[in-house]
Amino acid sequence: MSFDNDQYRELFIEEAKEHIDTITKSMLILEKEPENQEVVNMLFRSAHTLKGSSGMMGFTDFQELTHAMEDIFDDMRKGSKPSSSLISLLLECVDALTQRLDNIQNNVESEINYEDYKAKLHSMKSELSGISTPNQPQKPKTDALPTEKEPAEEKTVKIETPQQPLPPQNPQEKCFTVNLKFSSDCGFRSIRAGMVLDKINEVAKVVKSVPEKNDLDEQKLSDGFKIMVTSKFDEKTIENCAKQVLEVEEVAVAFCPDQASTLSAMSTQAQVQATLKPERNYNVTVENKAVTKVAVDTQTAQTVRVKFDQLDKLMNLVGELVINKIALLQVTADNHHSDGLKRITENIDRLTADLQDLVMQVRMVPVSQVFDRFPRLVRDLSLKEKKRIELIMEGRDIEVDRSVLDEIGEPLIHLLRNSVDHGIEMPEERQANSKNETGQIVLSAQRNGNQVIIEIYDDGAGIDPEKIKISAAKKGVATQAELDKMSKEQLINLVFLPGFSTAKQITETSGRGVGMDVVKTKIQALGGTVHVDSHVGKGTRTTIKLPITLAIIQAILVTDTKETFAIPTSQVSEIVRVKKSEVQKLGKTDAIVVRNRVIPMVHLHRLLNLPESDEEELEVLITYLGDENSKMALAVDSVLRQQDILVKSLSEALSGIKGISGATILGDGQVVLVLDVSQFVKRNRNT
Amino acid sequence: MAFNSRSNARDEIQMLTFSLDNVLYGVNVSQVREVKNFEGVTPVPYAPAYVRGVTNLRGEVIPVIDLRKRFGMSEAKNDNTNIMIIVQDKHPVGIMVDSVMEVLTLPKTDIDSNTDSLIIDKSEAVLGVAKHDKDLIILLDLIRVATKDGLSMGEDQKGFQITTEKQQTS
Repeated sequence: MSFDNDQYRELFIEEAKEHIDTITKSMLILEKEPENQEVVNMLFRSAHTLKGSSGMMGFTDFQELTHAMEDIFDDMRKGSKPSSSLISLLLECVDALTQRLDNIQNNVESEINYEDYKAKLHSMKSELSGISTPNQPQKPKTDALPTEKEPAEEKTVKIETPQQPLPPQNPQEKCFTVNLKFSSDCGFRSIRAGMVLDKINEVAKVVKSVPEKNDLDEQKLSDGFKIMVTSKFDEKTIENCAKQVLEVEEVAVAFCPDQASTLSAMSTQAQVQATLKPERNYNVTVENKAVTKVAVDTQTAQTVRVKFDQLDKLMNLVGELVINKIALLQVTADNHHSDGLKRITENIDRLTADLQDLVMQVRMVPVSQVFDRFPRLVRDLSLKEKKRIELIMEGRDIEVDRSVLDEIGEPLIHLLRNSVDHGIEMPEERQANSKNETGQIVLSAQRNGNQVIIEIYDDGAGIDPEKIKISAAKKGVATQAELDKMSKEQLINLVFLPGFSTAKQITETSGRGVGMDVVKTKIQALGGTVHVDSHVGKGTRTTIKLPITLAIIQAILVTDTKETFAIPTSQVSEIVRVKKSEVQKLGKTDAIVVRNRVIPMVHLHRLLNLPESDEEELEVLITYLGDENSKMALAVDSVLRQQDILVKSLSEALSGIKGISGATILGDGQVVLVLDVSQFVKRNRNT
Repeated sequence: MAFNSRSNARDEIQMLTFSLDNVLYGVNVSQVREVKNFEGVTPVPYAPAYVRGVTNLRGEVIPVIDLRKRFGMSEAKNDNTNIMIIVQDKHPVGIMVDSVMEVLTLPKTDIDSNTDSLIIDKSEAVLGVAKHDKDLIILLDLIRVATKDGLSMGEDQKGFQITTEKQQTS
């Protein structure tokens, strides 16, 4: 059975990703707690489900590999303990699966070389089975997890069922009730119940079943399955028939003389069962929660999958609605309309505001979606580097806008790599310095107003400002005189300059051509700041401050040379008004003095290559240069107001322009460019 | 605009024709989202010269491309170009033309796609030439025109880019 339907494909990819995440997480837990049976069961279930669904989609390679993994997990369930190398191998398999999934998603045809993995897994398996109990054919234990992959299972089970010759017939049709019970750990009950019905149909006619055939639900079937049939055969034949289906524990067939009364009794029972159902569901969720506590998060909340670009569209529509609302408010305020109209516009005002809030909330996702990849990363890196590292994550449930989250993964990986590679020392070295052999890296997220603060700190060697100084001088990023004047903090933050790295060697872990400058650029592009604080011998702390959402930000609207621009409020520390005569000349650059501090000043129209303006008075925005300590003054003709804006990205054709981070639409429909001052500053310094 | 979808059969092509510097061009209607009056743009500093700026298309910010400039033609004598064709690939782009003519349905056999023999530039944006009555219509892939590398451009048109310090590996 293969579905070439995109819809199923997407569903498969989504689900498979979740299961792969579960496997990764569970495996990392398992490495720490080899005794944890709950985790092993979880692993087995996920692999089993993946096997089934990939088979159904026709990805044979995927199915084969997950099957091999499932076998290993099965052995573990029987008590064999996984070695660290086996876990590494399994994680490699997970990587192969992830890669394959990505390829499927991008329509790239590349099959997994599963024979290779299978052979490796098999050799490990033989190691395992040495310790484990003799191999018994064990049935999949799936704990009544509802899955959509049942048809695949159905196929295999059916093959196992032997056909039996039909016994001699009784001349007359009689009525029977059949009570079935499935074994308690039986999975796919609904499928099996369907099979029982099919089987019984061979020898009898089904009059009624509880639950109904088209309503075979895992939960409803939890305590049995009742069928009423008419048949020419005797009880024994029907019983044997039902027993051919695997995992049917008990079959009780009873002859019933009065067909009508039995039928009505069964119907009442069905109703009772139906009313009981909600409670049952409740019980199940509680059970699931218990599992979650022990091991891995499985989402139990009721959710609907929505494509992210649909959320984007929704956001755009709401943005448009807000713009029109403002226009409507203006129109009704200008004209003296009836009170009724006024009330309605007020309502619309409130509703759009609520709607906007809600859309923003919907777009929020917990940082755990990115964070949860890191334990694996740190584990692999520290194994490679032969270091002992514990990664502690805090604030996994802090939520940020999805668009922000998509962008911070890479910078965080880079910072974590730095911590593993340059931060944490080798165990011997740590011991010599009377530190705990196992180094600690803490990754934390916390919310602070409209910002999220992400910190990475390690208790490693720290950054030596003297080394930075030497390296900086050698690389020519600053002159010796400049360096001598710098504070320790300034020196440390030199690591963010392009082409700067203190690593003596380029290792696989860090230094793959992406430096800290990339981290900084990325964070700044998100409207955030990054700062490093380090103490030699004690460790390094990197603090990233990001806006919770990129889509709606506070901005200051300014005009210069008749054009309007928006500048994010987060980039502006204060606004001052100066006369042209107050502007000082500092060589080629202008400067102004604000509270005895000299701040270099540039005119916006010069930065943007626009014609000069002849305003006598200037409004000057004092802007941050990425971090809070260096500032630049940006002169404009006038400051209009401050307001929330919905930032839209410019199309690809215009994306390369530094200093312009997007555009927004004002209440009157006018398009205004959103500036990114930190990008201008970079340019100003270098050219 | 409602097009009869049945006429868009395998061997026919529906194209919207427009003129630019007195030359007729055509674009497959499947690339056209709508035709709209040009109502001014917000200029974008350092954008390629052929980008007039950005405008608001019902809540979406879209770039507007001046096709004359894109093709390196002189500016129209009387700047009365007030119409643009909105093409849509993933994102809509406005393309300003001199005037929009009509929608034609032509058999594919009337289109000569051997573009090498054409005098106009060899850009991949030209799909072929269609014959209609006495007119020749240059069939364009406007989506390619709208994207950055659809036509070969001079370095100076790449817009504003800062030169960072030596891009060393760190």
